[in-house]
Amino acid sequence: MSDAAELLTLSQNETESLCMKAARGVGFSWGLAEEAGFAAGWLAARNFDAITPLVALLTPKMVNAITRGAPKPMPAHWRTLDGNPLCPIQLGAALIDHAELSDGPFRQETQIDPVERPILLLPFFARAAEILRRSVTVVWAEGGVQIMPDGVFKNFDAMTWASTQPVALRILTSECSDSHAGLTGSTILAQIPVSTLRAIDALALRTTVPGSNSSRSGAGSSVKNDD
Amino acid sequence: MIATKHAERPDVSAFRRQPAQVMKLDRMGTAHPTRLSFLRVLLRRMTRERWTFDRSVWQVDAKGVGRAVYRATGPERTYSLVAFAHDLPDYLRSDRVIATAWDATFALFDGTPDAADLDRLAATVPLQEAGRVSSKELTLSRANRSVRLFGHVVDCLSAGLQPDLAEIEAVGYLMRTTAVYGSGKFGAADRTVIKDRHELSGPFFAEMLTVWLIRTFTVDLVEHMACVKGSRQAVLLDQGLRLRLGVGNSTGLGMAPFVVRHPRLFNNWVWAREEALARVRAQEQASHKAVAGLRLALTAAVENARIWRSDHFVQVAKLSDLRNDLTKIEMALERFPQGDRPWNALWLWAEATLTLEGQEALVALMLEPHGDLIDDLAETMSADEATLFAVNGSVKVADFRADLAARYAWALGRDYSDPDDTARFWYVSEEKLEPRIGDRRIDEGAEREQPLGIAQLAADLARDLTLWPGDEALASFLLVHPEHRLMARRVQQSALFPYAEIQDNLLAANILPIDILRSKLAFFGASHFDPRSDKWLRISLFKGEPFPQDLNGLQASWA
Repeated sequence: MSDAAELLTLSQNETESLCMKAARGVGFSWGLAEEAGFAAGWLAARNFDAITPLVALLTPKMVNAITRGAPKPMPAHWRTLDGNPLCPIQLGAALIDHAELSDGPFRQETQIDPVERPILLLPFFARAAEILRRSVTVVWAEGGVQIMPDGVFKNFDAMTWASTQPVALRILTSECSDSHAGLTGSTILAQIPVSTLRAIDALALRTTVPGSNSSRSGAGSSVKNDD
Repeated sequence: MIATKHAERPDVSAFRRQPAQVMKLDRMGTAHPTRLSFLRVLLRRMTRERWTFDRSVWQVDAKGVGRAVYRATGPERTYSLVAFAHDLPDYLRSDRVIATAWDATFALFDGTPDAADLDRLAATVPLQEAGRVSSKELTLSRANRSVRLFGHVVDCLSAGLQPDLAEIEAVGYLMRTTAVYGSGKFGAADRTVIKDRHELSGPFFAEMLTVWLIRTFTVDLVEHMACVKGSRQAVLLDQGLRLRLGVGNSTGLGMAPFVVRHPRLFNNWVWAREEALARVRAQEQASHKAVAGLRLALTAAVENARIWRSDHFVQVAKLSDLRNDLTKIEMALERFPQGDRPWNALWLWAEATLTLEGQEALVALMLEPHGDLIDDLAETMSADEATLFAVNGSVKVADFRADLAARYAWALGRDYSDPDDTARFWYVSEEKLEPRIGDRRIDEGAEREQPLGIAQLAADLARDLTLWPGDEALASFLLVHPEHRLMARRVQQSALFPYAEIQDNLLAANILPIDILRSKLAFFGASHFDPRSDKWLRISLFKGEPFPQDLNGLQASWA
């Protein structure tokens, strides 16, 4: 069986940790890398393969400026700063940072310029709904998804969002109580292709330092340790 | 928030030690286990809930190779330690994470494993990091024999003799674990799977249960080997000697980054201990029962200090301090209790008189007889780190700047331009992803440094914030300065978690990583800290504590 066809399941913790390292590996700041790890882990715990789109997002960042696709927040319309499609990690973090501001993106209907790998934004919208205690609805050309303050959403709606093309979005919020559907019960962890694991591993390894004799000798016991 | 959970209790904050005193590396490096340490809490819980234990599988051959299953059954669920014993050539025995083979390997299984589970685990658990376990497993671990003591005990028991007490005291364990992985590592169940289970809700409880059951396996294995060797002549290990055996553990640098990366969790551990000490100090009187309990605890501490061995110069000095201070405490207790708030008076005397070793030992002694007063605090020591992850970007920069200045004063006021201030850097080695610390002037790889230099990060953040308009939102600052996002998150979290930060420079030339390791391991319940370098620590777990069969009420079926 080829790597591409073979699937395996990572724990949520493994997904978070690996994706954080990979994001750092291509040059994100540690704080934004944490956001990438959080987002990927959140999706993985809801049976979405977040690693495949993250690899697709991160790989070009090895040669492009890490700030490519940074957002420019404006009331009612968040634009791209440099003309490139928005980066969902930078955008997601900024959306949350601005969530509680009076002219923030969730206080009015807000247009968002096309976003790369938009599925990676879903965890950020869920967090916004939780912070604001309002439901957040995200609409795009072919569909939409509503996320409740307790993080519940219809998986099917979000599935259609797993686009490989940049997608322009519109955000609306509304008063609502929790869905009461809850997210209790067993988590279904996403399966990912082994080839995807190898790709994210390669990016994550860019945070590590190749072994040297001096580092090896300093890491362990300085005295006999097998007594 | 932890403080609200105990709102019905009197406010004892006047007696609580402040973070600036507690969160210093030199004091952290003298931490002692207390009755709030995780293994103690777990043992009390299992005793109270009348857990039962059995050894459902023992298939070990004459060479000591095979498998065993130990089951722990609580009110709601069963957990099983699945143990694999191997025949390891001496030259392969290493405690380093770069080892690839061990004397024994283990997994803690969620439930009772069937034959198919055991076969699956037999194919992967011995590989450790190179294998994959599943969400049915809660932990993955391995252990190596103490060649010296294991051989001695087999030889003695097989000849019908009990091992030498001095030998047992000199080593203290038959095997030492070299890693105990939990929380989703290598495919194991995530922490979220067990966090709502009452019985494993405390920090590292699955790991502690694993190590406690491993301890029993080590004794069973040594008795098995003695029986094989000595046949009918062999005897079982004396109960009193058995009690003196713990499980050893070799710990490298990996634990230090953990403490920094989990500020909220670590805060809760320290807060619980400090709140406990404050409650004890705040008492108006000392009851006869508590005073008697204190004296008993002191006797045990003196004995513990007597048999505590280390050849490392740092620990040799600390042991000398500890023994001297315990003598001073013994003398002070001759006139204890006296006056109002005698516990507080005892504590203030200690702060004025004893070394850090003695003071932190006294914390453990003062908590020991006060279970009724403080044991509820064990329930506050976990943390849900997913909540409060978000940065609140609506805060005005001026307000945020003030928060930073107030809570990170210990880190500000210097620019870290002296090479000694940033002499070290923490990194992860490509080989088996082992955390290491390097010398910035000599070693390569500083450009891949891990973000553990919190003091410098705080100073860098403060510097860039001074240039930003105070009436703008933090969100606008972070949009331009994503490099400060990690530190901004920590600053905001520290409002609720005052003991979250180690208030020292972890990049300083003179840092001793073993100080961080000891602090964390004391919360686990470790004792007999024995540094093997400035970044490598040997400890013992569960020494002196009961065995599963003791909790079973000495069930005859065990053997």
